[in-house]
Amino acid sequence: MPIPEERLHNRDRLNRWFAVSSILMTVSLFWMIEVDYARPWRDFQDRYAVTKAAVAHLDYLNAIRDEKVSELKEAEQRLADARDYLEKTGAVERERLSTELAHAELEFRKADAPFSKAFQVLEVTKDTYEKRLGEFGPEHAITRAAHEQFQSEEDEVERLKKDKEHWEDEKRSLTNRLRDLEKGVRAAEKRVAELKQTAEAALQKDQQFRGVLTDEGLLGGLPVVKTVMNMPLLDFAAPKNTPARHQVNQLVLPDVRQRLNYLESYTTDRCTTCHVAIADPEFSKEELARKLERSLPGISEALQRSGQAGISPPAPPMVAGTNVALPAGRVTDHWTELSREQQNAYFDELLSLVNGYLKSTGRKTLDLRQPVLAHPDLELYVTVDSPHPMAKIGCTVCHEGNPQETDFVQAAHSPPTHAVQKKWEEEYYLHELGVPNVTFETIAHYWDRPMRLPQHTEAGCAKCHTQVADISRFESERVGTRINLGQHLFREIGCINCHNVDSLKGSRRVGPDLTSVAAKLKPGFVQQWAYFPQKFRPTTRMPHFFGQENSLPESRNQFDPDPVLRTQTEVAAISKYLFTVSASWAPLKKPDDVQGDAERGRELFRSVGCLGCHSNLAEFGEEWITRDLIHGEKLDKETATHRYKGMTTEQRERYAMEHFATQADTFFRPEKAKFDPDAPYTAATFSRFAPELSGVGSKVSFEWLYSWLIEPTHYSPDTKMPSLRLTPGEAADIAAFLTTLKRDEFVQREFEMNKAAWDMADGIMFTLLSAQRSEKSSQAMMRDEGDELTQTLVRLLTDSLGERATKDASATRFVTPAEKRQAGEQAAYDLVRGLSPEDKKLVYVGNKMIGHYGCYACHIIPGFEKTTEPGTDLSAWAEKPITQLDFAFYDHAFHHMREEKADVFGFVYPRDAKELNHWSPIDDAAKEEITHTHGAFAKHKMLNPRIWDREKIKRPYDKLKMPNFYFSEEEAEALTTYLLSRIPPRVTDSLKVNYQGDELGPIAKGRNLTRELNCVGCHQIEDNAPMVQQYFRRQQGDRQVFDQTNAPPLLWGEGAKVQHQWFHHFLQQVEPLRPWLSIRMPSFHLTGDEATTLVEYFAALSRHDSDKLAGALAPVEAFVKESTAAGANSTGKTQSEKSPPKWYEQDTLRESTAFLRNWAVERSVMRKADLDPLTASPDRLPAAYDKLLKRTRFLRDLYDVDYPFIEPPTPLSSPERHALGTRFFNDMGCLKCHVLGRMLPGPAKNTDEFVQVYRLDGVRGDGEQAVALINEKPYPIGSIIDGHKLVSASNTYNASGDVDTKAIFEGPGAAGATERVLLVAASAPNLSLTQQRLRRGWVYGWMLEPQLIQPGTKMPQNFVDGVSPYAGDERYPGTGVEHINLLVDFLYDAGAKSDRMPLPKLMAAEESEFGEEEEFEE
Amino acid sequence: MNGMGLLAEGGMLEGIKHAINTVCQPAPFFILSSLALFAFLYGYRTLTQPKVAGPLAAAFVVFFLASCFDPNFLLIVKKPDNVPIVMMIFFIGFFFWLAFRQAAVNDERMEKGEPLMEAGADDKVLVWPDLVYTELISLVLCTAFLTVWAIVLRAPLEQPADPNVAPNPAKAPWYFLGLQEMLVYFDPWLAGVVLPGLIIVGLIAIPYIDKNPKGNGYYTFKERPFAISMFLYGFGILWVVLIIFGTFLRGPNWNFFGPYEFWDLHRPMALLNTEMHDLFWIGMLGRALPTESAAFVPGYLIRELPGIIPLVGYFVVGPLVLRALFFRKLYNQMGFARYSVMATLLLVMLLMPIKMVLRWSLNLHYIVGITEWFFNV
Repeated sequence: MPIPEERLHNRDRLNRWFAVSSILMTVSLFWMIEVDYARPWRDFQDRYAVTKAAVAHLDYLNAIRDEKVSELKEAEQRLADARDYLEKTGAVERERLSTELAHAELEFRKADAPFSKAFQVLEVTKDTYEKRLGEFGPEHAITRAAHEQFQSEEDEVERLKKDKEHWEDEKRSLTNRLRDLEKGVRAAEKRVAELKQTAEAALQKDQQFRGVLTDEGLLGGLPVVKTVMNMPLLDFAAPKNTPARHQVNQLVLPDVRQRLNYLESYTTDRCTTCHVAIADPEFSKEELARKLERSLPGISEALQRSGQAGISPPAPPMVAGTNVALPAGRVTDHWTELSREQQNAYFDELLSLVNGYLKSTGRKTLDLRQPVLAHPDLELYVTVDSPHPMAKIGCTVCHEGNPQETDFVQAAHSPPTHAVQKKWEEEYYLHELGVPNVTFETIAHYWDRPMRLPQHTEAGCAKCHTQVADISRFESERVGTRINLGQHLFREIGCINCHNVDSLKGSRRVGPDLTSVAAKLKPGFVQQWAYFPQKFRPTTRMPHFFGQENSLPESRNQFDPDPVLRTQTEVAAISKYLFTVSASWAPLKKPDDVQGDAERGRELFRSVGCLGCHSNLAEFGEEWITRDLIHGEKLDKETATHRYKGMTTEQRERYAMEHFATQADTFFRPEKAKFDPDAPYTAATFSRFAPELSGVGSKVSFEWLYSWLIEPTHYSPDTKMPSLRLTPGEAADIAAFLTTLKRDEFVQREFEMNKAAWDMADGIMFTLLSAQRSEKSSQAMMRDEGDELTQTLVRLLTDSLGERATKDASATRFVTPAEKRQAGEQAAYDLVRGLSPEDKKLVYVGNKMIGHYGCYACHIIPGFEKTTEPGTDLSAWAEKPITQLDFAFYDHAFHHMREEKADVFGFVYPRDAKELNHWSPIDDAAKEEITHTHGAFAKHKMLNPRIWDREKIKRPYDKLKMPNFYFSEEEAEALTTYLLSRIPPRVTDSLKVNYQGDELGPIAKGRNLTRELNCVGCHQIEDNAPMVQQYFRRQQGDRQVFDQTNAPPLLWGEGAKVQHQWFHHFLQQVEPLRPWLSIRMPSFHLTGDEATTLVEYFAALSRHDSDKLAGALAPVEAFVKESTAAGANSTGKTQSEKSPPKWYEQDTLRESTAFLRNWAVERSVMRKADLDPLTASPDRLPAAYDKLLKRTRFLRDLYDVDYPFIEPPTPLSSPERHALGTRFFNDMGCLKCHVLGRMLPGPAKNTDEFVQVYRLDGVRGDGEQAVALINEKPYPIGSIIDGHKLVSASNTYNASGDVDTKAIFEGPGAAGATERVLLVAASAPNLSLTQQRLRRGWVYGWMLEPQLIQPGTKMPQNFVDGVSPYAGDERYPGTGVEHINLLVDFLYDAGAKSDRMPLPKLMAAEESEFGEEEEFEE
Repeated sequence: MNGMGLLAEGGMLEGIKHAINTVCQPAPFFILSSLALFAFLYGYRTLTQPKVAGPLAAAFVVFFLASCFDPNFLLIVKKPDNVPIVMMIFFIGFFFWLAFRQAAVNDERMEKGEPLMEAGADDKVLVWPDLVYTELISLVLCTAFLTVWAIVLRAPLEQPADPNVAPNPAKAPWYFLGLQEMLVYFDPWLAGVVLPGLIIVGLIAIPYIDKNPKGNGYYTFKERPFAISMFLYGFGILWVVLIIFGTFLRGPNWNFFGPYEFWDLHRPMALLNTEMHDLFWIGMLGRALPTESAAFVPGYLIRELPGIIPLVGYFVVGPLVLRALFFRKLYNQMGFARYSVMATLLLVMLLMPIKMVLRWSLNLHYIVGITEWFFNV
C-alpha cells in the first residue's frame, strides 16, 4: 500500500539536511584533529632539528675544506709512494717471503694433523691408565702395560709437538717480516680510509638532514614526508631519532611525588618536549659557539668556491681586566675567561655570520635561544653523570610549574614583571573567541606551585639538601649562595625570633639582654634608639619599627589621628617599663691602680682581636672610604679626602654598607673580600655581625665597658661576645679608648611627657582595654579602682621577679615554686606600689606595647619569659594559598587603579616619605614587579614591611607591624628564596641528602656554627676570606702583601692536623699556642656539644677535601700510569726521547684538571699564572703541572684521616735514641724559634736563670717608648725585673717581611759580671704540646712540606724533597725519612716525659751573628 | 579605546552599574523577579505580542552585550562552564515567550469561540523515514556542535583536585546550584534531604493531584491560571533564578557580588544572624530565655514556642485559611486528602521565599532552633 504523501516529511529536504550536517561533522572532526595537532611544542622540536641539520651541514663544509681535501690528497700520495716503494725495492724480498710463507703454511698443516690425532689418542690412553691404576694398583701388570703405552705415546706427542711448533714459529716470523715490509703501505691505507670515512660520514649526515634545512629532498620536498611522518595515527611508525620526528618527551620520576586525592604519586615531567636540547651537551652555548667558530673557515671557503667573498672571524674580545686580545678564531678555547656579556656578544656575532651564510644559500636560519639550548650548567644538572641527573630528579623538582603541560602558559611559566607578562601574553596566549583560554592570573590563582623565577630557583635545593649549609661550591663556581645567605640572614638578624621555622628551632635570641638595661643605658638613649635605631647607628641590625609609612604623619586617619605622638608615647611607655623592671646590676670593679690609657687602648683594640667581629669607621673609615673613592671614582687623594671630610657620620656608614664587602660576603662570596696582592685594589670588609663601634662612647659608660670587656657574661649570660682574657689593664685601656668614640650629634632626649602625651597614653590604654571589656570598667581599671591595675601589674611581673629574688637561694638549694611565687609577688608588689598612678598606667602600656611589637622575641625582657613568637609561623609559608596573602591594593584586581595612581602605588617607598626614602636604595619598580606571586609578596614585604597598608584605613593596632630592616635588594631576594623553600618537599628519602652517614652532615652543622660564632671572622677555614685579614697587610717593596705570619692561623686540613681529644678540650679551655701573635683566640662559652660539632666539622672537612682530591686525581693518575707504561713499552725510542704525557691537555681529563687547578690556586698551593696556558711559557708548563700533581697527591694523603681519630699512645724510645734525637733536635736549630717546655718559676738570680724564667711575648711601640711584654705583662724601657734592667726592645722586619722581636736586658751573669742578654720572642709554638696536640702523621708531613700545608708559614723547609740537611753526616746515619722519624720520635718522647730543653742563652753581642744565621738559613 | 569604553569612564554609566549591582543584591533581585513573573502572568497577552516582546528581547540583548564591556561581567559570563547558563537565560526567555504567545492566541480564540490553533493537527508520522532519519540528522548535528564547542570553549583550568583544599567559592554543578542556595537559608537536613526529597515526591504526585484535563494537548493559560502560575513560580523563580544566583552572583566566601563587581576575596561582609527566640523573648517581651522545664515540656521547647507555634500554625491552619480565602472551589473538586497533600506541598514550597525574606529583612537564622535535637527550621 503506498504511503500517503502528506504524512511524509519532505525526503529531499531531509536528504539535504543530512548532507549538510554530515559535511559539518566532517569539517568539525578535521578541525578537532588540526587543533589537537597544532601545538606550539612542535615548532620548538622543528627548531631543534633545523639546528642539528645546520650543524651537520657545517661539519660537512668543514670536511670538504681545501685543507682537508689536500690532506686527503697528500695521504693518497703517500699511499701511492709507499706502494711504489714496496713495488720497487721490496718486490723481490716480498716475493721470497711470500713463497716461504706458503711453504711454511704447508709444512705446518702437515705437522699439525698427526699431532692433533696423537694428542687425542694420548688422552684416551691416559684415561685407561688412570682407571687401571685405581683398579689394580701400580704394581699390577695390566697397569704397567698401560703405563708403558702411555709413556711411549707421550714421547710421540712431544716429538710431534716440537715439529708443529717449529713451523708455527716459522710462520709467525715470516708473517711479521712481511708485515714489517708492508707497514708503510698499511699505515697510509689506514689514514686514507680514515679521512675518507670522516668526509663520507659528514656528507651522509648532511644529506640525511638536508631536507630539514632546505625543505627539499625526498619526494620532492621533506615537508610532505615530515607531515606524513608526524600525522596523527601515523606518528608512531617512524623510528625514534628520525630527524624532524615530533614526539612528546616525558620523564617518569618515581622519587618526585605529587599529591593527588588522598594519595601520592610519581611525577611525570614533560618539559623536555619543548626544552628538547636541554641535556644535549652539543647545545650548550659554549659548544655551539665552538662549533660555529670552527665552521667559519669552511663557510668562507664554500663561499669562495661559489665565487663570493669569504668571511673572516669576528673581532676577538679582550681578556677581562687586561688589554690582551684573545686569539682570533680560537676565542672559544678561552670561553670561561670571558664575561657573560662578552660571551653573549661574541656568540651573537658568530650566529649572525653563520645565519648570513645559511640565508644566502637558501637554507633556514638558526634561532638559538631557549628552549632550543642545553641547560646552562650541565656539569651540575641534567646530564647522566652530573650530581642531579634529569632522569632521576626531573625538572619541576627545582623549577616547579605544571609538569604535565606542554603549553607555555599552562605549564605555569612565571612572568617576572608586568612588562614581561605583557610580552609573553602576546607571544604565548592561545585565544579562543578572542579571549585567552588561560591567563597568567588564572595560573597564579589556581596552580599551587607556579614556576620559580630564575633568582629563586635555589629554593628548590632545600628539598633534598634539608640543611642547606651543605650545598657548597662546585669547583670554583658557587652554587646555593642565595638560599644559604637567606637561611643565614634568617637566623643572624633574628627573623627566626619572631617567625617560627621548624627546621631552625633552638636558634638564639639576637638582641642584647635587657634584664639590667638601667645599668647600661640612659632612658634618653633607649627612647631615641628604639624610635629610630638607624639614626644613632645606621649599620645596626636592630630593625626600625616606628616612623614607617603607616605611622608617619601622612598616614593619619580617623582612628589614628596623630601617629607620631602615638608611637612616641608608645616608645616612652616601653622605656618606662624596661627601666621600671630592670634588675640591679653592679659592674665588675676595676682595680684602683689600673688607669685606662686611650692610646694604648687603641693599639690593643687594633691588635688584640676586636676587629674580628666589630668594625670601627672612626678608626678606619677615612682610609677605607678615601681609598674606595680613589679607586672607584678615580678621584685624586686630596679630593677624596675632602669628600670624606664632607660626609656626615651617617653618610659614611651608609657608604660603607653600600660599597664594602659584608660579613656574609666573606664566606658566601669570598672573591669580593679576598685580598689579591696583584689586584690594584681590594674593597674593605665592613661587618655588621657585631655592632659598629664608632659612636659607642656616647652610648655606654667607661665602667660598664670595663666590666663587659673583662667578662661579657657578667652582664649578659647568653651573650655571643667571647672573652679575650684581657687583663684589667688591657680592659681599662680598651674601655678608655672606646669611651673616646663619641657621636654627640645624636641627641639623647626622652620624649616629653606633656599633657598631650599623657592623654595619648591614656587613649592607648583605653583602646587596649576597651577591646576586651566595657568602657566603664576600662576607665575603672585606669583609675586603679579596687587595685585592679596594681594587681594586674603584679601578676605580670610575679614570675620574673620571683625568679630574680630567689636566684641566690636557688644556687644552693631547691626553691619551691610556691616560695618563688611568694617572693615574686612580694617583690612585684613592692615595685608597683612605688609607682605613681600615672606611671602605673604607663608601665602597663609599655608592657602591652612590648607584647604588641614583639620586642621580647629578640631581647630578654623581664615579664616576657613565657611568651611565644609574635610573628606568623613560616614553616610552610610557600605552601600557603596565594589567596591567603593580602596584597591589599596591590592585588592584581586593582592593577588598573595602580596604573592610574602611579604616584601612590608606583614605589616601594612613597616619595613623600622622605625619611624612609633616604634609607632605601630602592626607589621605584614596585609597579612593575609586584606581580601576584609569593616571591613578589615576600620581597616587597621585606623591602617595605608596611607596603600592604598603603591607602588602607586601619585602627592603630590592626596596622602591619613588621619592622623595617632596610634590607638591600640582594638580601631581600635571598630571604625570599629561603622563604620560598619552605614548602613540603615531596621527594622520597632516596633523593634527600643523607646527613647521618656522610661528611656533609657535620660539615653543614659546623659551617653554621662557625658562622654564628664568627670563627670565619679570623680563620680561613674553607675558602672564606676572614674579615680580620684586611688588617694584616704590610708593605713589601711597592706593593702590599698579606702578612700570613702574624694573622690568625689558616685552618685548612686542621682536622687532619690536631688530635681530636685535645682539640675538643682546647675549644672549651682556650690557651695561647702561638706566642708571637698579638691577636688572641677568644674564649667562647661553648657547650660540649658545640665543641664536638666543631671537632667533627674539621675532621669531616679534611676527609671531604681528601675525597674530592682523590676523585679528581684518580683518572689523572690512571692516565699518567698508563701512558708511562705505554711509553716504556714502545720500542725504537728511548724514554728520554719521548716527552712526558701531557695529562692536563687531555680532553677526557678536562674536568679533573680544572678542579685540581682551581683547588690548588685557591689553596695557594700553586700560582694561577704558572698553570695558565695563556700566561705561562709552554716549556715550563709540564714542570708546573708535575708539581701540581705531586702537591695535590701529598695533600690528599695528608688529609686522609678518620674521625674519630685517636693518636695511639707514644711508645717511648730507648734512651740512646732519645739522646740521639736530642742532639739532632739541637743541631737542627729548632729552638731558634720554638720553645720546648714551660718556663721555670722565678725569681731569676742571674742571666742564665733569667732566660729560663722570662719569656718575651712581644714589643709594642718603638725607641724609647717601646713596651716589652714579658710573661704577658708590659714593661717600659728601663724597668727592672729581678735585678735585670730592660735596655731596649724592638721589632725589626727583615727582608722577607718577618718580624724579629727582641729585648735586651742587662743583669748579673753567672760569673758575677754584668752582661747583656738577649730575649727573642718565640716565633713558633711550644713543642712540648706536640705530643698531645698533633697527629704524628701530620707532623711528619709538616717537616716535609710546611709551605704546602700552611702557605706563608715561617717554618723553613728543612727537608727539601725529603733530603735531610744532615745527609751523609756520620753522626746521623740513615735517610731523610729516618731523620724525620728521629725528630718526630724525639718530640713525642719529650712531650710524654714533659721534657724541658734549656734555652740557649744569647748574648747581646751575638745578635748580628744570630741575624746572619737566620738569613743564611733562608 | 572604543565608544563603550569611553562611556564606561563617565559617571553616569558607573551610576547605572552601581544601580544594577544594587538591584542584583539577593533580596531585591528575588523579589523583583517574583514580581516580574506575576506581572508577566498578568499581562501575558500584551507582553507576548511580537511588537512588545521583540523590542523587550532586543533591549535585553543590547543590555547584555553592553554589559560585556565590563571586565568583571565579561569574566563571569565567558567562563567556559558558565556559558551554558548564559544560554539558559536566553532559552528560558524564548520558551516562556513561545508558550505564552501560543497560550495568548488560544485564549483569545477561545473567547471568540474560534477553533484552537492545535485543532485538527495530525502530527502522526512514520517511524521510518521520518522519525529515525530526523533523529540521525539531529545526532550528527549535535555531535558536530559539541565538537566545535569543545574546541572553542576548552575545559576551564582550575586547581588540582585536593580534598584538603576546597576551592573558593566551592560551587555545585550548575543544575544543583538552586539546592546549594537553599543551604544558605536552611539546615542541611532540610535543604539537602527533606526539600529535594519533597521536590521529587511533589513532581511524582502531580498526576494524582491534578486530574484536570484542561490544557492537555494545547496551549492555554486562562484555563489553568493557578496550576501554571504555581509551577512556573517553583521552576522559574525557585529553581532558575537560584541557579542564576549561584552561577553569576555568588563569589568567593559565598558572598553576593553584583554582576559588575570584582570578586574581592578579602571583602568583609556583615552577617550577624538573630534567632526567633531572641526576637520574641528578649526583643518583644524583654525577659530572659526560658530555661526551666514546665511539667513534661523541656525548657528548650518552651524557648522555641514562638517559632513552633507559627510553624505548626502555618501547616495546620494554613490549608484552612487558604481554603477559606482562595480554594473553596478547588477543595470541593479535590476532596480532603488530595487538597491536604497539595496544600502541604504548596506551603513547603512557599516556606523557601518566606525564609529568604525573613533572612534578608530580620537576619533571621532559625524560626525554630532546637539545636538540642538538631532540628532547625
